[in-house]
Amino acid sequence: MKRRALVVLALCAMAWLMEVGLARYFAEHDAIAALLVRRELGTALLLLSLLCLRLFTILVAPGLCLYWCVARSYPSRS
Amino acid sequence: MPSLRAALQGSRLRRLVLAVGCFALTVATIPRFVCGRDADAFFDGDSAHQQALADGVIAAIAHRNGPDYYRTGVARFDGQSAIAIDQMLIMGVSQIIQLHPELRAKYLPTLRAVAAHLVDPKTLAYAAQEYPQHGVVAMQRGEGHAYLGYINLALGMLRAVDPDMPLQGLHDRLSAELAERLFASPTGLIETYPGETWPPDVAAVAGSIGLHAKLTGRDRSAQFAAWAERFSRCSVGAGGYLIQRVKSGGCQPLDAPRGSGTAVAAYFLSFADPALAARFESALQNQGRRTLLGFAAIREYAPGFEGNGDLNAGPIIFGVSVGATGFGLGGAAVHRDREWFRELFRTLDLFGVPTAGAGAERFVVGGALGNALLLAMLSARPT
Repeated sequence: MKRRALVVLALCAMAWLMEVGLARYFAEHDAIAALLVRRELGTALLLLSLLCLRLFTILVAPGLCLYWCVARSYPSRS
Repeated sequence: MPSLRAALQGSRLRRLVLAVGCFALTVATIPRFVCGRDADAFFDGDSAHQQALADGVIAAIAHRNGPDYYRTGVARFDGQSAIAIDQMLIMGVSQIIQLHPELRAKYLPTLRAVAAHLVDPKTLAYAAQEYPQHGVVAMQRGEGHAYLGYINLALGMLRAVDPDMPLQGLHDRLSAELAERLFASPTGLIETYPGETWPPDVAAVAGSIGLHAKLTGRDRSAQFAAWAERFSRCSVGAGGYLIQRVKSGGCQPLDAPRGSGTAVAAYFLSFADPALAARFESALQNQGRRTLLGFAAIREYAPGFEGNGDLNAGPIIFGVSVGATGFGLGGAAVHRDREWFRELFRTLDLFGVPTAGAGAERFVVGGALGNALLLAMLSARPT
């Protein structure tokens, strides 16, 4: 259980750190022209990654953490 | 909780139920809380939030070198985006000053500098390629120059907080010439460029004339009532959405009724014809509103229409567009619909990715253009 908890926490922390890093990149590199006019695939993929990470940290990670908290409160048979 | 433990112990099915329950609980509560925590501050005009966003936009354009902010090589995009950034920055900051007059001294020098850039014909050199000259320089009979609606609206907002602005004469001239064209048009429309008529641009023209009338104490309500009837007959399509483009000289649609154009028109027209603005706002809520778990977005195409959008709409995902949703915040703010504003704001916060630093805040996905637009929308108030 402890190992699983660490994996969950590490996953959430990594996603959050990557989100912060990508957000910082886009804060310094205005992507509007690249996306709307030049339709650069690389920029689009980076932005998609940022949005996926954000969806993960806001939508999925809280559920993972809550599940871990509840699940660890009773003993596992395995 | 021994009974709960016993019930859950060991069973895979029960673990699955537990997992689904945890996800359902968190998805239904945490995202709407996290993403909506700043919504009320913006809706209520909190000075710190508004200043942070305004300072973020001002910092973003501070590095501009030359007339354009973006240099894509596409003259039309580069020029129009520069105009939009200048216009929305002036509108947003002026709206903030109207609510917090103590900030006037802080922002006025920036506003005047941005306005000088906005009216420089070099900023939208594209206009002078399409017409013999930029409309700021001169407008000949029969020429529409509806792109001037954006410039003139910004001048009006600046004048509202800076009655002695040096560009007063230009504001008066543009308003008079645009009004003459708009109110004489049998369709209620004028061209943006030769052969191009875009009703959302015309809404900006109307808004700028309405704002000028308010500032100068002139009553144009009868003219606007008659104009609104002609404009609606020609430009309002399915579901009460505004048609994005019509054929010049008539009312033949060249594009679908679109959410991005309708939403920005609802904001612009609040300066000229609040009743028509309210009709567009109502159409967006009745026909375009898509909500899920406290998040809302606005569909780009009216029911029965489909398409791939354009630069005005931005990306379209599952039928809802970034442009319509972003501009929709302005209408929600103007019409003081707190719950609608909150729902749209949560979506902005989730996908816009706000970041703060050095006293400034911005939505990193929006870039300078997106943040300038959001500044105007998030600080919008009833006129």
